[in-house]
Amino acid sequence: MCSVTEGGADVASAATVVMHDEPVFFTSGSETLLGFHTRPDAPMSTDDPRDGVMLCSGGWLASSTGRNSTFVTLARALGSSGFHAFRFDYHGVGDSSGSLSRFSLREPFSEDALAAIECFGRRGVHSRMLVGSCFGGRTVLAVARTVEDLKGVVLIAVPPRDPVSAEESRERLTKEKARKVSASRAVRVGVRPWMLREVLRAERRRYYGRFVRAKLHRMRGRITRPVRPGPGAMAPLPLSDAFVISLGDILARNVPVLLLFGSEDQAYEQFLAARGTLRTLPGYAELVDELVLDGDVHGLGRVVVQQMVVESCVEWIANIHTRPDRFAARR
Amino acid sequence: VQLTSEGRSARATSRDASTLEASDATGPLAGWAQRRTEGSLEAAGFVGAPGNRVFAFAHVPSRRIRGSVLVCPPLLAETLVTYRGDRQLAGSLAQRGIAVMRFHHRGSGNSEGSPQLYSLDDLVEDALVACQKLSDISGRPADVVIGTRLGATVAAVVARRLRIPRIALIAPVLDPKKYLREVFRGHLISEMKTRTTRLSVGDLERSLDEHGWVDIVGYPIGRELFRSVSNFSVTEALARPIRSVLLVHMGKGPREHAAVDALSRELTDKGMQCSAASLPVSLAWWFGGGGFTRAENEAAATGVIDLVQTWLDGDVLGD
Repeated sequence: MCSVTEGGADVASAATVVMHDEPVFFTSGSETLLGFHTRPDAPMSTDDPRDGVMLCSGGWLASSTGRNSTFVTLARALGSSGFHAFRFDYHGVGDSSGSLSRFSLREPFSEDALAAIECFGRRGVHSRMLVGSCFGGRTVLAVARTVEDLKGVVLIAVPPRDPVSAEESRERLTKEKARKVSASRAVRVGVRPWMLREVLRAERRRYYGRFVRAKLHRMRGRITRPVRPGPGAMAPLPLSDAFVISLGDILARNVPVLLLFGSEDQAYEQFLAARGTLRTLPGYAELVDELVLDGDVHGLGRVVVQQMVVESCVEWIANIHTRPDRFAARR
Repeated sequence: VQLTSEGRSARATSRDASTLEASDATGPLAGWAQRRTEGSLEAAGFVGAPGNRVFAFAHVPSRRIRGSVLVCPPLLAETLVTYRGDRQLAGSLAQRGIAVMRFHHRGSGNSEGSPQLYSLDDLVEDALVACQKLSDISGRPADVVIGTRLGATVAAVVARRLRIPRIALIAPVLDPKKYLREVFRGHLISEMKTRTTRLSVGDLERSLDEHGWVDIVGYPIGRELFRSVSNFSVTEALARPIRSVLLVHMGKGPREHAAVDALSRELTDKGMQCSAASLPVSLAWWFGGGGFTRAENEAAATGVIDLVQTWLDGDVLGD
């Protein structure tokens, strides 16, 4: 059991240096999480100076910073635009306590997010905007209904479908890559000395083995069209009930939503397949902005994409704040 | 003031987590977020100059501090691989009465600054600032510095400059040019998986020269860092007053293992006490997910913790 104190504004303001990022410990169940409160350079407006944006990063290992500190950059950019921002490490990640066996889209870390929202509230800031990336987006969807006076939700590369298992998820990812890389390109790269060295490494060999099998299956399918589903063929992933219901709840509250994807995201392909269903949700046409950036938004594998994601989020959130009538006009 | 075995001055102190908590408002942890865990106090805050403030995380033992350790992390994508392991290592050392400071280099993690602009000197400066904070907290000069990958390069410079007698090098970068080539190749492999890139390592090097930085799987590597690291020899930096070295080789390749063995012999010839160990794990340092397996990562972390603890307990800080 941990006892917790917060490094807060009062202490920080006594220092000679003005700190905009303030680390803070808070409890979530039996664990103690590390969060960061980024204060604005200047409040957005004097009558409502406490608008807060809660950031829920993606899963995997990247902690609340995200790849190349993209979420840190986002929090500071929001601070420069007059917003308070809060991000945190999930339990078992980064500098939070606890252990973690896996991230599952079906099991978002609602308890952690709610504890973060409470902590933000204790610091005098109301979480009026929620931003979540992939797994973090599912977490945002899970807690959105508990947030009063919610003004906007940003979902970054959030898959609308549930993977069946980790193994199947890996299989799908490999098949997708096998589809994108041409056979001639795969052969040319495959015979390079450094690639041959890579293949000798056990942990890479598994991946390349899957890739080659997927590529061969695909090529065989092309020759003997129409492609018959092989024994490894997979049925379409089921649309997540949690995703649809939560999104529907948010729209029913007249809260605008930004769905942000990258053109190379697997989540985007899932979204395209599911868009017909999602558009039947009441309020979707009026309240949802769909934005597709060129590249891989899910993995944030390029600096330029990271910058575009930050700029898009800040611009959209600032617009929601300064032009609340925008969505009303649509309605 | 008393002298340590290396002749450096150390303020006699019975400092521990409770004395630090008691002096919270004005002490070295003033303004830092703190939490008490079993056996230690953990504190998070920033050190350094505005614009380049470095995020630092201290692990302070609840009982009397009998040693202090600075942990220099690897850079960029590699931090993802070692982060929880470094944290576990720090926690376990704090349980044994050793104060530990971890930090994020400028331009990475929670720290400030732009990663495109920094050089090896800047990274060393970050470590020095963190080390000073560690001394303020523990009330004694750092006894040990631990560095992983390029963090080992930083650790070597810091150890020599601050006359820290003991250093642990975890999977150190012994051939920086080869290391950078491997990093670039990692990027090309990653690109190949997602798009039909026709870039080569040479193209990336030319792009680095032309634009001042190059994007490697979403992490910018700047020209200054590239140049300063390319021309730096860890082997040369490891010299007296460094007295004791722990060398940990990771991987299954015999060539790298041989390089570590050669370094170990060279350091012994220089009069240093060198312990070399090998962990048969193959970590995917620069692959953002494809080759990553949690089990290998945890095995590496556990192995490093065991080796460092044994080294510290038996050889260095044994009571």
